[in-house]
Amino acid sequence: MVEVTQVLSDIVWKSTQVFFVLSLIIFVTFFIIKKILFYTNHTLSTKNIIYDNFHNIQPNTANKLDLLAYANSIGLRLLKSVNHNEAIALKESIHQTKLYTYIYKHYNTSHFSLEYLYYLNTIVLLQNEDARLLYHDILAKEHHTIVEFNILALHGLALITSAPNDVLTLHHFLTKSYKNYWISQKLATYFFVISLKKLNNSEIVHVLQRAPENSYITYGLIYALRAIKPTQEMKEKLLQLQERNAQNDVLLIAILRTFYAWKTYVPELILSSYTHENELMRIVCSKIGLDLIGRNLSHKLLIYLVDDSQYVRNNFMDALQRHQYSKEKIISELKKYYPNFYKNQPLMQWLKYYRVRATHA
Amino acid sequence: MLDMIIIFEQIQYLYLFYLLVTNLSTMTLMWIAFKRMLVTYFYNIDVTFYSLIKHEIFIPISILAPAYNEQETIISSVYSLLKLNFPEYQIIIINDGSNDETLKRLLSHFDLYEVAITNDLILEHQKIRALYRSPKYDNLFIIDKENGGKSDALNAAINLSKYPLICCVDADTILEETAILHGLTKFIQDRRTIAIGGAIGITNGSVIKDHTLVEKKVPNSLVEGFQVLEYLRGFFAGRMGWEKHNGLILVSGAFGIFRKDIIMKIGGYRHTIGEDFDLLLRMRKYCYNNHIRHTVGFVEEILCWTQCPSDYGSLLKQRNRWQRGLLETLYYHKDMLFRRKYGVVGMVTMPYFLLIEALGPIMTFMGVISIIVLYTFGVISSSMIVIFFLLEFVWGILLNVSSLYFEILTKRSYTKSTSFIKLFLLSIIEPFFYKPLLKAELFLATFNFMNSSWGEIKRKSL
Repeated sequence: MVEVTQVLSDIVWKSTQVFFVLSLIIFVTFFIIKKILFYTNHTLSTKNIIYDNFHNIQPNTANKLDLLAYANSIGLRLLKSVNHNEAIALKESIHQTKLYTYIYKHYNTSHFSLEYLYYLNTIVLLQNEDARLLYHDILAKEHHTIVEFNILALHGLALITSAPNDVLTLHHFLTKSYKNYWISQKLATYFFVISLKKLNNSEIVHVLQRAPENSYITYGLIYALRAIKPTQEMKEKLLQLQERNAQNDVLLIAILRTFYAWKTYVPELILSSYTHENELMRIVCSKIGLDLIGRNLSHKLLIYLVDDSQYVRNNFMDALQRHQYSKEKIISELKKYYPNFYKNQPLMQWLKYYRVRATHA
Repeated sequence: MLDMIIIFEQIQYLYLFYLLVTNLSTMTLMWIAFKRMLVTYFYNIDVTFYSLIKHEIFIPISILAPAYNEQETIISSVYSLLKLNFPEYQIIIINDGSNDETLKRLLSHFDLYEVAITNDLILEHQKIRALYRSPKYDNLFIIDKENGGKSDALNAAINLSKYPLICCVDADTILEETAILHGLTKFIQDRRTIAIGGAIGITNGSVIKDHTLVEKKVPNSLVEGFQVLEYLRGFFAGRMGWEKHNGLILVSGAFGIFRKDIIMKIGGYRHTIGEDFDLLLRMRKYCYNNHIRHTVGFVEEILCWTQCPSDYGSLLKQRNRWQRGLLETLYYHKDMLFRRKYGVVGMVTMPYFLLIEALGPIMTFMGVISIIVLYTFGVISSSMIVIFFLLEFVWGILLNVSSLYFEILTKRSYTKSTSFIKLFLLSIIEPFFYKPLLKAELFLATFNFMNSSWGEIKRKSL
């Protein structure tokens, strides 16, 4: 027992010494590094300064840190850039400084996954078309232990979209990630939004024609259309898609929401679905139905005021307020179309307190 | 006598084993957390997710804040919630039967008007007296109800909430403007997510103006400073480490985002000491039982700032309550322990919480007694005492310093050098003063709980 104690004592004592010394060294080193970074303008805050004033900065191409900070800043600027001319100027600057080649070289010679991640992140920000193969390689792998690799590659791919085929490739990889990495449909929608914004209207229609139907990722694609200025052709394509898949509730919900974002009346779609037995469908219709059905048919939706689902009732009550329906108008329509609703106590209680709201959230 | 000494020797080795396991597991969790932290650091997550909002891709959320006798702070608390950077959210303040002017001040300041309750009150709670809305702030709702405690107030608010996600906060906490946005990223990145928590910071010592944190500082008083350090270490190792392997079972009551549908399925909060702990465990249990793939996320950033106890009396009282909450929750969910059906939670996290966290104080107490007895009888070797000293104190310092270093390297919650120096010094003295004090209180809490509370709990019909 004494021997065991002695061995344990030695192990613990030595390891403690090592850890203690190591942590002290690390702590002191941190302060030194922090100072160095501060004076050489590479801290995160400095990066932000470069981000705002990158036009005035001439990076020293011989200095690795200098170039990395510059690449990150210019990439962030490019990502947030809304001005087309500025985006072209930024891309020109990236091209001239050969930033992509430089970062890609470092990516290829990385040793640790975190190192890879850092360079990949910068590559994505630079939005260089040459990175396409790299993204494909990453996404073709069955599994990454760090899920961010996959998300970055998807983001990168979306950012360099230039043709309908790119969106369809993105669709393919998103479908895979949806299964393997549990990404949400909303994330897929986000990547589609970025991607679709790089295409013109006819190319978007082309994508709609060729995208696989009845896939959760396609529903994400339809949601993404909300960010696009609609054309008649797009609207028709969506209606045709719905007709082909008339029994698909999830698809119909996505289509309805897209029409809502486009501020397009589709009374026939609402009329065919507002009494649907699927609660989710009624929830959606109660929320956006008034916007899609038009005023002359809006009384049809008053049935929602006594719906079994509290979410349907509440959504519709909110919608009435949002549409500035006066108490008098609601009462007169109820009397006219649904006189038996007057027996409903909760509805009467709600009407008692009802008032049109002056402001919106 | 010989038998007694043999027993104490065995306790001593058990204590040694306990210390080794505790320190090694904490170091492992810290290492996992550090790697995770670096991923976040090297990955411009903010860029992606600020763009999500820009493209109107988000999940709307209801923020629930119970308030009991908060007349002094309630108005500024509401304003701090109103200025969150998020496109669609609903704020529900629950006046839980306050007997001060909390409701009166809310009514007059926000010019509230009464509205009808149209929701189905599925979860049980005390009677709601009235529901109010603000004419100016469309997303602000105030519930006035009879007193029933925090869990009861939250149940009432969940019933009246309208969005698929709910965020439970304490009314007196300060949320970072981007708190909800950060929280939401986890739900969007991984659709299995059922709940997320975030790191909590301590406001003591910091400069606050209009319920906004203007300058973050480490407080001067020892008791508050120790807690700052403890929070840094705790959230870093305790939460992030577990999150990585889907073993997180605790989300702080001060800030947590949950999927409403799952909460409704399990019947909402229960009236327990550790209601937050209990809620998340029941959510996870429900998912496991119904074969729902799920995960619980943790946001590395400090999303919420709160006041910590500023004197030892209040601190010990708080920790006593936490310890009893831990024991109570583990007792309620004892059927999950060591069951493969409950995955990492049943096989790793819960046993860890039981053996290391819950029974730790008893283990330490018995270990210290055994060392004293064995030393008195001259049976213990000096090298053994050195081992205990190293494991209990020096390793404690190492863990403190390491977590502080990781924090500085990645999160940078505090940016002033004086704050780091303060925290560094506190790291060194913490194992000698603060930890023993807490362990003594936790031991008393455990002892009290085992003696009395369990009898009562057995009679509860939950």
